[in-house]
Amino acid sequence: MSQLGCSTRLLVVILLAVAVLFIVGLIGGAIGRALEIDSPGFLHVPMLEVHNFFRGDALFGSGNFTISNTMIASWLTVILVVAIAFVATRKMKVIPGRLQGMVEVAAEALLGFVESVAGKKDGRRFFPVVATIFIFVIFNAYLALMPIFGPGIHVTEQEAVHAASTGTVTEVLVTGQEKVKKGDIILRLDTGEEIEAPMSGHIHLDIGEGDAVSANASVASIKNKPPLFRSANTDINMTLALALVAVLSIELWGLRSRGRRHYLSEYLNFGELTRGIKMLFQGKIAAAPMAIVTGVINVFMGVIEVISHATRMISFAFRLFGNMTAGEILLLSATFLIPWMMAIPFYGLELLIGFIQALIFAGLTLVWATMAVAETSEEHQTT
Amino acid sequence: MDAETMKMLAAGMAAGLGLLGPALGLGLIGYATVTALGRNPEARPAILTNMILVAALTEAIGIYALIVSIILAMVA
Repeated sequence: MSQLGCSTRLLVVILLAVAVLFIVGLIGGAIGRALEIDSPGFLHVPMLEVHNFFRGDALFGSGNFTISNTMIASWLTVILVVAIAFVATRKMKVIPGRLQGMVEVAAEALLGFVESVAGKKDGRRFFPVVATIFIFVIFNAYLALMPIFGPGIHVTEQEAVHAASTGTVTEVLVTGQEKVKKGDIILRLDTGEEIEAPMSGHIHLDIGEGDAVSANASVASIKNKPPLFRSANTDINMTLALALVAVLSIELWGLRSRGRRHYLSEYLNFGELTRGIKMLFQGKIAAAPMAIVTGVINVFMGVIEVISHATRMISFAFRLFGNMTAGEILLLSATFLIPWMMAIPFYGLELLIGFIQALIFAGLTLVWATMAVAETSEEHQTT
Repeated sequence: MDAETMKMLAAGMAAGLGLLGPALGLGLIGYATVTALGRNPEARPAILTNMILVAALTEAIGIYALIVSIILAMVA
C-alpha cells in the first residue's frame, strides 16, 4: 500500500493501538460505568466538572482583587508571543533564517488581509490593533488545547467545616450528593444551629446522624480542585475588555478621520429637522412638512446608530465567549463519554473554530473601522 | 410541575427553538454563495470572504441562544 505513506506493519500497529484505547476508554469511561462493567479503579474517569462559568476560578489573592486561572493563561499567551517576537527579530538578516522567515510570512499575510479590506493608507493605520487582536485570540484558543490546560494540573483548595457550639446532629442534608455550593446547609444540630458550607466543592463528612459534636470541632472537609490554567477566551472579562478596545478604537479612528462635527452629526442628526423648521418661518409652507418628517426620521436614525454601535460591544464579547465556552464544554463532555478516542474529532473542530473566531473578531473590527473612516457619500441637500 | 422540571424544560426549549433561526439563515447564506459562485466563478475570493463574514455574524445569534440555555442549566 504505497499510497499510505507507511508500511503495512506500522498501519496494523497503529490500528491496534487505536482499538485498544477505544475499548479501554469505553470500559473506564461513562458508558462503561453506565453498563456496569467491572473495571479496576485506576481506569475510572472522574465526573465532568465545569467550574465557575463566566469568570475563571479565583486562585490567589483575596477579596476584590483575585488572580484567576484565566488571567494566568493570558499571561502565558503574552509571554509566548513576546518571546517569539523577540527571538525572531533579534539578529535580523536580509535573507531570513527559519524563525524570522516564519514570522515574516505571518506578518505579511495579516498585512495583506488588512490592506485588502481597508486600502493601503488606512490599512497601515489599522494594522497594529487588528493584528494584535487576531494574534491574541488565536494564541489563546490554540494554547487551550495543550495538555497543561485543564484538570491535569490543579490547585487544591481545602477547608474544614467547624461546629460553633456543642450539640448532637439531628439531620444530615447532603447524603447522596457530593457537591455543595457555598452557603448550602450541611448539618442541623439539635440546638437549632445550622452548619453551612463555607465554600463550594466536594464534601467529605466526618460524622453522621446522631453523633455528638463539641464546640469548634471539625465536622467535614470541603475540597475543590480548580485547574491552574484555563483558556483565557472563556472568561467574559477578557472578551469584554477586548470588545471594549475594539469599539473604542473604531470610534477614535472615525473621530480622527472625519472631524468632530461630521462624526457627531452621524449620531445627533438635527440638521434636516432644523432646516424644515426654518423653512416654516421662511414662508415655504409647501416644502416644510416633508423636510420636517425627514428630519424627525433622521433623528431616530441617529439614536438607532448609537444603540447599534453599543450593541457591537456586547455581540463581540458574547460571540467569542460563547464559541470558546461551548467548545470547552464539548471537549470535556466528549472526553468524559469515551475518554481517549471521542475527543479527537472535536479537537479538529476546536482548531477550526479558534481560527475562524479570531478571524471574525479582527475582521469585523477592520470592516467597521473602514466604514467609520469612509467619506460620507451623501451631501447635505442644498435647495 | 416543580422548579427543577421547569428549569430543564426551559433549557431545552431555549436551545432548540433558538437555534432554528440561525440554522435557516446559514442555509440561505450557503444557497446565495453557491448561486453567486455558479454565475461568476472568477469572483471566488471576494464571494468567499463575504460569506465567512456573514456566516459568523449569523452564527453568533445561535451562540446567544446557547448561552441562555447553558445559564439556565448550570448557573440558575
